[in-house]
Amino acid sequence: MAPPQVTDMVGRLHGHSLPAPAAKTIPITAPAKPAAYAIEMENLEVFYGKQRAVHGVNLRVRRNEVTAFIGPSGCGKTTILRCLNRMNDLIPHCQVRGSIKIHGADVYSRRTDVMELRKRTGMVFQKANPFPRSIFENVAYPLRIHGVRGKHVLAAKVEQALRAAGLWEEVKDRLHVSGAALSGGQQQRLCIARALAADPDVLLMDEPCSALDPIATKGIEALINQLCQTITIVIVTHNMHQAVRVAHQTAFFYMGSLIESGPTDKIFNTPDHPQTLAYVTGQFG
Amino acid sequence: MSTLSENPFVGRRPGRRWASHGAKALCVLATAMALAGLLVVLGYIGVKGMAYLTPAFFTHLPLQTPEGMRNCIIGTAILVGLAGLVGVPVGMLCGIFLAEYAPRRPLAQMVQLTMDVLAGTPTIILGIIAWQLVVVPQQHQSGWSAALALAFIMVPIVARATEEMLRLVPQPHREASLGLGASKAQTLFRVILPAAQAGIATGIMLAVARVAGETAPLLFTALGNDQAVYDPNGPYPSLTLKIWQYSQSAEPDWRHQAWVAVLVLVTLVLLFSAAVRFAVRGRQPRRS
Repeated sequence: MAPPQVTDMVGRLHGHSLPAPAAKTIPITAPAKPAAYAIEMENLEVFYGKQRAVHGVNLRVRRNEVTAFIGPSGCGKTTILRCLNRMNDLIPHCQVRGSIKIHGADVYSRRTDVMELRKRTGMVFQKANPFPRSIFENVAYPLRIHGVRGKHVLAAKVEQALRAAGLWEEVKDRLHVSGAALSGGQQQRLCIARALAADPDVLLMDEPCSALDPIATKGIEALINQLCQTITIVIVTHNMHQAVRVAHQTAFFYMGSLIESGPTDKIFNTPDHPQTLAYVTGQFG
Repeated sequence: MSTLSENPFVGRRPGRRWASHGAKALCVLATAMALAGLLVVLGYIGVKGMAYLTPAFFTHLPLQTPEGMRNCIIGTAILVGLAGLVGVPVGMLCGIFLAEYAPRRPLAQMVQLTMDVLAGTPTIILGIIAWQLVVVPQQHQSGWSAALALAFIMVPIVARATEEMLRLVPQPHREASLGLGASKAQTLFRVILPAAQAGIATGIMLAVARVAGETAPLLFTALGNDQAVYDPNGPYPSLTLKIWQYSQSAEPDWRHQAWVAVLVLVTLVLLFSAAVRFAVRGRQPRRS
C-alpha cells in the first residue's frame, strides 16, 4: 500500500507534537519492502487468573488498513484489542504472555511508556464515553494532558480533530455545550475526535456502533473509510455486514483462538476453515 | 368459552392494590412526620431566637451591656476553619486512597475499619484524646486542641463521602482518560475529582455542619473565652460552649442569649451549606 518514503509515513492528521518514535522512522536507505504491518502479535496468550482467555494467537495487522475482529461473544476479540494499548493492565489478575509489536516496538517491554503507547494507539469504546464537560474540553483533553498550551493552538487542533471526525459542521456553534447533550452517534464521533486529537497511528475500536442506529452507524463507517488512509484501524464488531462494509482484512476468533484471517472478501466467501464458513453464514454465533 | 361479559382484566386479587396504596401511604406519613418534627424544631428556634435578637448580639462581647457574642461567632468560624484545614485534605486524601489506589487490599480494609470506628466514637472521647495530646503537654486549654478534636471528627466523614463519591464515577470515564495516554494522577485530578466534586462538597458541608455544632469535645479543649482574643494558643471562644453555659444559667437574660446563639448558629450553617451548593452547581457545563 504505502511506498517506502518518510513523508508518507509521517503524513498524518496533523504534524504537531512529539517526534515520531524511532521504530516508526524508516530511513531513506531502507530496503525496498516497507513495513507493511503496523501490529504484530506472536504467541499471544491472555489469562484472567487461572482461566486462559486467549490461546497462542499469531496475527499481523496491515498498516493503514481496516482490520475487523469477528467472532461470537466471549471469543477473546475484545481482550486482544485491549492488549494492544495495555488497557488490560487495569484488570487485576490479567496476565499477558507472548509478544505484541506496534511499529516494531515491543508493547509489553519493561521500557515501554504505557502513556505514550496509549497516546499513539487511540481507543474508541463500545459505549460512547464523553467526559461530563463541554464538547471543546472533551477534544482538548488529550492535548492538555500531553502539554499542548495556548488558546489559539488548542482551538485550531480541536477544530482539526472535530473536522476529521466529521462533527465540526454540526457542533461548531455550540462548542461549549456539554458533550452529554449530543445524540448517540454524535457522542461516538466526539469520542473519535477526542482520540484523533491525541494524534494516534493506530485506532482501536471496540464495537463502536453497537449502541447506534443505522444512520449513525453509516456515519461512523464512512469516517472509518476516510481515516484509514492515514491511520491503521482495528475494529471489533458483532455485525458481520459491518465487517464486510468497512474492513480490508478480517480475523475470525473462536473460543480464544484465531481460526482464520485474511482479506475480508476471502473470509466471507471462500474461507479455508469450516468453522469460519459456519459463522459467516450464520449457522452459529 | 369466554364471553364478552367476562372481562379478563378484572383483578382477581384486589388485596394487591390495597397493599400498594398502603405502602405509599406509610411512606407519605413517615415523610410528613419527619418534616413536621423538623419544622417544629426550626420554628421553635426561630420564634425563641427572634424574640431576643438585637444588633448588639453581633457587635458586643459577653458581659458587656448590652450583651453580645461577637467573639463567639468569630471563634466558632475560626475553629471550624482550622479543623477543616486539617480534616478536609486528610479526609479527602484518605478517601482517594481507599477508592482509587488500594481498593480491596487488606490495608484498605484496615483503614476503612479505623474510619468506621472513628466515625462511631462519641465525640467527647475524641475531645479527651485531643486534651491528652495537646492540653496536657501545654498545660492549658487552647484553640489548637479544640481544632484537633474537631478535625478528628471531620476526617472520617470527609473520607467516607469522598470514597463513595469516587466509586460512583463511571469506570468508562477512567478508561477514556487512561486510553488517551493520561497518567493516573491526571485522570484523578482532571476527570474523576471534577466528576465527583458535587458529592464531595456535600460531604465536606456535612462535616462542617457537624463540627460547627459540637460542644462536648470543646468543653476541656477550647474552654471558652469572653474576650475578643483569638490566639489559638490560649482558651478559645465558641458559640456552642456559650450556648451550653448560658442555657443552664439561672439568669433569664443569659438563657435568652442562648436562644439567639442557637438561631445564629443554625442560620450560619444553613447559609454555608447553601453557598457551597451554589458554588458547586455553577461549575457544571450547560446541557443545551
